[in-house]
Amino acid sequence: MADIAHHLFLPATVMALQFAGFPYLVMRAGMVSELGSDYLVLGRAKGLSDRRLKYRYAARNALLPIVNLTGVQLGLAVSGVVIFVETVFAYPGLGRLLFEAVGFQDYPTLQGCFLVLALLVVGVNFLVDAAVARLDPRTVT
Amino acid sequence: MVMDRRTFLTAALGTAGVLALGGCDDPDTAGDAGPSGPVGRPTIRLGAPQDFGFPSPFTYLAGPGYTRMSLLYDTLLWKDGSGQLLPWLASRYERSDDGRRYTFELRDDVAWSDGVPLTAEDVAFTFGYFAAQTLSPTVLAQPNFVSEVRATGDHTIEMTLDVAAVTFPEVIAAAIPIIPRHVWSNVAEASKAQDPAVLVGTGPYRLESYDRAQASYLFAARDDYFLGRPYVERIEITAVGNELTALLAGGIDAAGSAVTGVQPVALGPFRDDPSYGLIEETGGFAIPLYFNHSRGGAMADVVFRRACALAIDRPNIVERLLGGNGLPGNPGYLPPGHPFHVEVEQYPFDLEAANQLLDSGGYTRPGGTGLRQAPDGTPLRFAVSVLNSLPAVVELVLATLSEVGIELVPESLSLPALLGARARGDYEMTINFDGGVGADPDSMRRVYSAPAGGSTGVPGYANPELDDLAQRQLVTPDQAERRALIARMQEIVALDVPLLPLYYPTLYHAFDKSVFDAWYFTPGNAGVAGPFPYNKHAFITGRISGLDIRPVGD
Amino acid sequence: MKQLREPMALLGAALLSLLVLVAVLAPVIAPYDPRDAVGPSLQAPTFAHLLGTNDLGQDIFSQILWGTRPSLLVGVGAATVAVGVGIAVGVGAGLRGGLADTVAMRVVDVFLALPVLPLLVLIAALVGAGRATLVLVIGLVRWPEVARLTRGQTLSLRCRGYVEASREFGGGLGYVVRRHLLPALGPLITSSFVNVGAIAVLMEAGLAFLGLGDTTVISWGLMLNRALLFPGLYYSALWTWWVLPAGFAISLAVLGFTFLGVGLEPRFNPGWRRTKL
Repeated sequence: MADIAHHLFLPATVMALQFAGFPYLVMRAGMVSELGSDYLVLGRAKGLSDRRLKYRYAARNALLPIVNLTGVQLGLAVSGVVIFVETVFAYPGLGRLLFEAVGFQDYPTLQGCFLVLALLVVGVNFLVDAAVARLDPRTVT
Repeated sequence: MVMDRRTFLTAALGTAGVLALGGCDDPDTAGDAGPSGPVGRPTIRLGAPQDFGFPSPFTYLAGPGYTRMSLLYDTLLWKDGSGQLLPWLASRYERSDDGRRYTFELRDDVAWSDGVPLTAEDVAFTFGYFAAQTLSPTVLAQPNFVSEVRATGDHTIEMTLDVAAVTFPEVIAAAIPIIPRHVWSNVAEASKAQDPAVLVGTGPYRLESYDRAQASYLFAARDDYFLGRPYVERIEITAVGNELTALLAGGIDAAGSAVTGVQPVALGPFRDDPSYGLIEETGGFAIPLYFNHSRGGAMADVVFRRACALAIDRPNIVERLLGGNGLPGNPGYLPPGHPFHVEVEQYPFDLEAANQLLDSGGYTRPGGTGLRQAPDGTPLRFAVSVLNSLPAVVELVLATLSEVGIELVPESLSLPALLGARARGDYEMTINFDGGVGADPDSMRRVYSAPAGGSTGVPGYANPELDDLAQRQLVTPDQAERRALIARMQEIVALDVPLLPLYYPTLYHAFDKSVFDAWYFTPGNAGVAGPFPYNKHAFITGRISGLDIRPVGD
Repeated sequence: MKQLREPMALLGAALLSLLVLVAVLAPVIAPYDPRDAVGPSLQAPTFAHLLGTNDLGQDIFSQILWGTRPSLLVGVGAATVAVGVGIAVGVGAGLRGGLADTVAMRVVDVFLALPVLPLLVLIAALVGAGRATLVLVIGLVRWPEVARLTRGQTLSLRCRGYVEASREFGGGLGYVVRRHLLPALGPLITSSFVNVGAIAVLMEAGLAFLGLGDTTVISWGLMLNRALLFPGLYYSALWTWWVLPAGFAISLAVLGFTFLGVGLEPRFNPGWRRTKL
């Protein structure tokens, strides 16, 4: 386990840094628009603290798009950047396998890779949709 | 200080799956009886840039694949570090006077890894089975010249050859892995068998696991091996991007330099640190430029090929690319230092002469610069297939050829694709690999002689005199006579330039002495593995030569 | 272009202008031919070779300057293709509506679901990655985003008074698109262009780095590819002058595009910047 964590640390950090920016922008935009909402005015009128309003009320609503974004980003991550990160770090993952299969012109392996990628993306998006439905009842029609 | 660097490399490069936690493998404690040092039989961790196939005798990939396979399967004879053929599965053999019949006496104490004893029937079956299979050219050990193999007793075999090949003991008896009849008689298509259950061999190791995607092979010693329990207990091979870096980071215990060659700066740390050993060999490996003569046109025109030889600065390749770690390519094929090498025409770098030669051959250059045209009007632009990790040499070759009006368009291929393309003749020009230049000079027959049709051959090239010489040297037991024949062959290929060796890289092998130190480059190669220091003899005996096994802890 | 007063956009524009200048002037300002062996191999930076030399003795500084060309060409080319196709489909679908719109948007969905990079790797390995192929492929996998954005804008613009008025007065479809839609879409087009450019630069470098690019043209990705193939790169000081500059150049180009893109963004979404949290 320690070995896995040891080898995962740098590649994972690189990927994480790469994907951290976009959620930041989305979260910021979400906060900005939530902060203008009426329910916050009401909350303030009730005498809730600023802190509580921001983090317990506004942030929770602003987080919703982040859940959706996670699905999209995971899709991007498994189908894109892993190829580079795994190549640079010689990490034996799907991206490297795919890259090598291309080099060997190994079509069955390529098909397998694409299938797994597709399943991953579909699966993650399904989970995300289910999670959003649970978190935000408004989306269920 | 060293630890810091190692820890850094471990963290920074993460050659995943092979690097132990930084600091666990401090070489300074080696030799101690303590639990962290290598007590008893060593485990050797090796790295490889890629997978080399399922290690059965019918599916391995090229030389490194043969090496892996040879850990599981034995041959009748085998070479040690002295270059001598040792009795291996065969305890002795006899050659008939006409050189066409060999009688082998098998050892009677050999058992397959499933416990069934080895008999002469297995050997007879092996040759029949090989002949009946259609195999990929990357399966290097394939029996030639053997017309009949008969088991004349439980442990005696008689082999009859088509031609009295003097190289038979070395290229057949010490190369063809013997396979068990009771396993393979049920397998119709050997190249499709990928089930580890078929890997029943007499070899010193058994395959503990193989993972194609991770390019990892784990071999464990067989304690019932007929020569005794192997000195090296385990051999673990895993995927490593850069072997020398992984060795420095402590992730593996020995590392070979790339077969494309290496600059001195990459070897510095191993020369400076006495805990590493470093061995080298030059002339076992060649990087040749192939012309596909069967495409006709300029490729089949000796004037064009000679002009190419004149316009490629081979000494400069060695100087620039390898910092001197190698030898410039010799148009006569055999590298200087090879026992059969003779001096032949060298075509020293001379753009002026190349231009004149091309002019005289009718290759016109309308504007005086730019691309030339063949007499039939086609521009001299050729696709050259190259290995995807060999860009630098390509650039050097391209640069000077373009100065005489020849344009090459590189096409990058992976190693298997490149070797496959050469074997099929599916290329226009290719910068390829040849691990046979340091072996018996019969390799010249396989490369240049049309009837041999080998996978390293030059498609479409046929010179009757050369074919005749190639056939004669094969059946000439007298050394001096054979030497003369091969000298003449070198002169011919230097004049015809069917292909042009670009350079012979010096191959280096660096290793952690505290883990294993009996590394050697086998003179003339072990089996058909090419010039690599992974002779199983060393792993079994822990010594450079001989058959007695080094005591544990010695 | 009043949005250029945005400091970030300004910075981006400055960076890109600098790179364009370098690309155009490369033959003039590069001290050496990037392909010639002009010094000893693997030399550390000196005044003669500002960034040292590589394994063939080629001047790395000159290579960096020349490497600007393929990067910008692919970035701009791919962005042009993506924006061109994207606008055509987006505006067309938005104006037509109905079945055409539905079909176009489903096609967009399919394209958006494609795993872009594996696809590129595959195409590069099978057909080769000449610059033209690269421009075409990156452009063709990136157009759907542009199409989706322009369609949305078109839908809302279509109902604006002045557009409706123009149509009422007999303005043809082509006239309305030319006269009213495209100018109104201008900022969106610019921003999409810049965003696709950033991605294209990164992909070009990435494919070259993987060894799948055009090996006959010196580019930053190819420089990295060669450097990483060199054994002993990591345990000598080589990487400081062989790897870092190319990586830095790629970052600079991508940052230039991205800054410009992000700087232009506030115009459509004023809330992002000015509101104080």
